[in-house]
Amino acid sequence: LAVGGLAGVLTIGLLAPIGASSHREAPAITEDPVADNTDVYAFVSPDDPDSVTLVANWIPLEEPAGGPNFHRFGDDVLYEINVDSNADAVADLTYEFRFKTQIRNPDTFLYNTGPVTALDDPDLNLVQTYSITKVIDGQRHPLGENLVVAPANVGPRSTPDYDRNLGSKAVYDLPHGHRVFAGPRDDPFFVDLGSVFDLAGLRPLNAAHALPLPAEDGVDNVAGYNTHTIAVQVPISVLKRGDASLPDPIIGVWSSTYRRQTRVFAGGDGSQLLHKGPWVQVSRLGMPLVNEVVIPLGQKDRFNASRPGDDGQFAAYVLDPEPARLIPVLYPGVTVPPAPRNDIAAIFLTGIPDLNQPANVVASEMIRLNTAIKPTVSDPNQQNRLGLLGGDTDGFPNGRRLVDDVVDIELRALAGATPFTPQFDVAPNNLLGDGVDGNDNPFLTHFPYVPSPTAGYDSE
Amino acid sequence: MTDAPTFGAGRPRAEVGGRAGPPPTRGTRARDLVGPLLIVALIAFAVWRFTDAGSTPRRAAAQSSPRSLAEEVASLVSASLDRPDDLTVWQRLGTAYAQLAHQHADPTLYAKSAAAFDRADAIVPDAPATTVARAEVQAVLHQFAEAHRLTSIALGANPIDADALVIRVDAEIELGRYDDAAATLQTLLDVKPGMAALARASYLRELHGDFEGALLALRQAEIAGAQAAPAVRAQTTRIRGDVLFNHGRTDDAAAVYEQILDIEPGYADARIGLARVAVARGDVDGAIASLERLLTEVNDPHAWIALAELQVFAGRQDAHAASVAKVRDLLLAEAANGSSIDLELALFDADHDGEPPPAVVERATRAYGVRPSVHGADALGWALHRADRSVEAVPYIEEALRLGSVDATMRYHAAAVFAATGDRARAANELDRAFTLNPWFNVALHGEALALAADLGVPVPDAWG
Repeated sequence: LAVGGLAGVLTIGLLAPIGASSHREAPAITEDPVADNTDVYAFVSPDDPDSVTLVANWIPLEEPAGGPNFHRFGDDVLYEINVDSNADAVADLTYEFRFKTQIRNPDTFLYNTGPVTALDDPDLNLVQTYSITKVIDGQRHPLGENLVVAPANVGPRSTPDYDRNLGSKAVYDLPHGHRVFAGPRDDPFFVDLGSVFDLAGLRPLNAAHALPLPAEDGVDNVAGYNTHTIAVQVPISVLKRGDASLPDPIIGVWSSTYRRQTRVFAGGDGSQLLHKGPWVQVSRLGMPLVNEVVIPLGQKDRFNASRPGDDGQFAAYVLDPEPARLIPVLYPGVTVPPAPRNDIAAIFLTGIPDLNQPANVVASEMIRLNTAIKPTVSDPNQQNRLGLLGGDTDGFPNGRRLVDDVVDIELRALAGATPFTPQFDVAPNNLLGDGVDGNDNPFLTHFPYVPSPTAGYDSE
Repeated sequence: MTDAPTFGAGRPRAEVGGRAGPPPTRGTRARDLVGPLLIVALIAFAVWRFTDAGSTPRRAAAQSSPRSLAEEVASLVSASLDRPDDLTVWQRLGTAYAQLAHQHADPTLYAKSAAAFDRADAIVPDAPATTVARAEVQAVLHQFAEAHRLTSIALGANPIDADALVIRVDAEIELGRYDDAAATLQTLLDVKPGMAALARASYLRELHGDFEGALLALRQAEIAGAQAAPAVRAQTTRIRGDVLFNHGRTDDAAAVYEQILDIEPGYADARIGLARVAVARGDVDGAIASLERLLTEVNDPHAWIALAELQVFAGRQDAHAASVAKVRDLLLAEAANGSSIDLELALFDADHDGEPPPAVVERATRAYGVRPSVHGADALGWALHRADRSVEAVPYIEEALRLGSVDATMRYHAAAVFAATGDRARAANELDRAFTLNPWFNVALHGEALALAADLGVPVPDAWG
């Protein structure tokens, strides 16, 4: 998820304009939630180990009670999920998603005019549809068109039995064994923001903080918020494109988000299409928290515009990550490995040798998933939240599953509490955590696995 | 390869209890330990999930009721006492005080805003976020030279800081540095072609006379910002209403203003726009009544100015005098708060006799000195004309039109100045241009425009009946 510049800390753009102006007072807000990619997941499907599920979420911290202007994907945004099949830091396979909003009844501002019990229910006034295109080596292959985005979960009167009537119906089977879903979901991310925001506090470790407080349980501040999910399930044979010469079963996965480039001056040509011009990448996400935490604030815009092939420019931030230096300052009892942190580089940039590092890998930031490692359990709720550190070789940082507690895993990794640096794999380093150990809602045991969205009616 | 021999080996699958932390260590003040670099890292760490649209602090700050803003300030003050070394608290407090200062018209709060930013600078000198927040406050106060200077500092650290770029574009436009503004905006459009950038592309196009291009960019801005807060969407859409109205498309403008009231019921600027539309449709009394109603709800200078213009148009002298006093009181209060309002007040006074013409010229000269934009030049030229110094006004009027203005009021100013200096052909041409662009430009000038049209032999718009 992109935190551009001041975003989130300050209120840039929200200052009230001066009373009388002879000039234009246009909104100064630069954040762009519709194009803000929050999380990417890639895992071997627990109930279908011959396929991989790729999940990417956009629009952070959606209030479920957002009517009548419920959140939706951007019609003017290009969403992509990319796969690098041969470790050269270039996408070999890309899934493109484009959205289109239709208003069925322009005479009402209402989202729906009666109970909505099917995707084609005429009482659903605002409908968003989308197309999915598979791009291989620049060749475009349409996989589906006019697919319906799952509508908002308004409440028991408007959207009764949401998942049976609407959510599950928005899963489409597409050619070549693909399945796809797009729509609102419960944000599956979990973290104690309130504490982390307060001088990087970790409630369970409050007593050890430089400014000590009594220890407490963590609080999941993402609980109750929704997000917008695009999920695609892909047969592993498709991912490797049937190319036996590809060295190994490890893929790289990241998402990218684009808006149209615009020239300042249109040359007086107002007849041009509303949307034209080349796409500009405005957001990029692979491994969790690299964009958000490892890349310094001042570099985020640059990172969001960058491609994995150019990640050499960010290597220094990974080899000497600032959050790692912060840990011993705020937790005086903790010492961490000195830079250069080749262990962190392996996790974020190359994959771990003999696990998810492909042969001849070009170091670059993406989720690396060894598709040959099959899920240990078929119920995602039964997987170990600590992923690899908890003994699940099918878990983060080998891919990323919904259950993986990436905050705790990465905190411990930054503190050196991994087998890479056994002398640091001790208490308290290997106990670091925010105290939020799981999502507030259980995951679905079938595609798209991400839980149904909280209803506006139930929202607190 | 199916397994990692080293990772996870022998580790129990069950997780260690969350509360089993390390033993408490001696409490040490973070201030003694945390160096500036680490504080910066800390911020990065702390804001990772607090993105703009959804973040709790933003949401709180975005609320517009005085009480919630005061509460936000109170909560930040309390946080600053608890955590005097928390950079972000001071930064947010600086911005929040400026908001409150504006809302309560209390200049002492601007001093507190500056003091909060000073505290932030003491923790981390010239942190980009502090500098950009300061720049935003300066831009809101119309101190564009200072805002511009501050964005130079911020962009020195990060040349593609989108927040800094937005403020810089605004500042360059208001400083009359249009080529610089276009270059800065292109940088912004290349990095973040979202609502803020597109709205500014629209304005630069309009300033250069490209009406259709301006409308197109505004539509793009509205789509890009389709999920912004209602007040923000209303603001963007209101601009489109104004652009349409200013180009004579009264009915289209009316539809847009109505649409805004669906998004944000009661939105003052849309109601002002509808009052102007009502005048164009011949309902002057209704327009005045609606503005008077609006002004019982909000003490908005824009609404007072619109009302004063209508009162001139309708010949209601007594009420007009009261409105003029109101406008002047409000703007002078803003000036006392540190805002630069000379340009706006000079233009108003020139048409409403708020001050004697020489004093207006003095104010307009000051305004042009700090904002040598096309609007600054127009204000000074118009003030000189009102002071019977039309010959001196000519170069300023020409400067005001240098980009190819499609602002009917500015074209009318040119017509009057050229007529007064004996250049009747040029005057007639400008007057015709004004009438064609928008017959319903500043209606306070309606009477004199009629007389000028008769004098120059320019046909008055059909719309004037």
